[in-house]
Amino acid sequence: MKKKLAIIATIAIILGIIALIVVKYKYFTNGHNDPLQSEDKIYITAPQLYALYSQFEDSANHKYNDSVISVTGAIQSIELNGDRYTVALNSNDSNGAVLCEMDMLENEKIKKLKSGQQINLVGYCNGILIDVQLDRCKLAE
Amino acid sequence: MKNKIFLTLLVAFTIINVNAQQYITKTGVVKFFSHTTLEDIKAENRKVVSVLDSKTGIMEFTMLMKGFDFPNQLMEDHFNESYAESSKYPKAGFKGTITDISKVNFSKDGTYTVNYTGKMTLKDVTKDITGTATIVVKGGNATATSKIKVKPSDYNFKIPATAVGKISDEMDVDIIMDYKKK
Repeated sequence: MKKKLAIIATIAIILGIIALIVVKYKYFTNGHNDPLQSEDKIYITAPQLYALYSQFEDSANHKYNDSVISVTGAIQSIELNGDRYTVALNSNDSNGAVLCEMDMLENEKIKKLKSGQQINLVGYCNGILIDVQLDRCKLAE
Repeated sequence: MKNKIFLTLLVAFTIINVNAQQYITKTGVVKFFSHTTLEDIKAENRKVVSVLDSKTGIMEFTMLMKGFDFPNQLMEDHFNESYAESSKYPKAGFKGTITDISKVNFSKDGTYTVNYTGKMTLKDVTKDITGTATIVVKGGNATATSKIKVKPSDYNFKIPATAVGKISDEMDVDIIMDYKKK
């Protein structure tokens, strides 16, 4: 009986430690979920994403906000703002672009990119102001 | 409200090419800091859209509430889901006037202290705001900075009992707009 209780207690402690590690990893280490690891990515081009937000903002908010978006498009501009880069993807619409704030871990890779280059970025969609805004973006391989 | 701010800014951006007195940014920064003995909370939005008319002093900015970046996911989720209700109130903004804009010489590098008045809207609640800002003109561009205090309770932020004591009654808010002349 004592042996059985000891086994149960050991399993409970191990599960508790695993749970703490998971919570710590998810919420308290480098801070945020990794969009590249998401299994629920929505695949779309930059012109399609911008057109949907600019024409049907409410439904686009409902469908894409908070979602992990894998967006493909041509680089319109690259700007360093403080300690991280912002990459604008061409929307084929002069009124706005798809503005992707990059994860700081991507800084070295961003330096090698050029205007006009086709790229695939994965990040979290926040909605539209002048541009559609994505956060914590990473370059897809 | 959200569409009104967006449309005003869109019109302002559209007429920029025929009106050279406007300064714009799409990468303005609004950050807030809350300090209590139990917890410090800070967050930053680096994609604030703003327009400043250097002749009239009219200035406005708008931002997506989900654009606030917190040090960890848990804080960000709580902010968006429980306090700011960012899905229901996705945009916030300010519209006002720098009342003494004439003292700023935008064609000469320099630092100027100015006064402004206007209305800030958060969670569809609009309040009057007055304050001072510093405008630094350099190389034809301008950076405007201001510090204000904001009470979450003024804008219908409901703090659950479990978080009372962890969130300050009054938050320090820094506004930094890196305008470029268009």
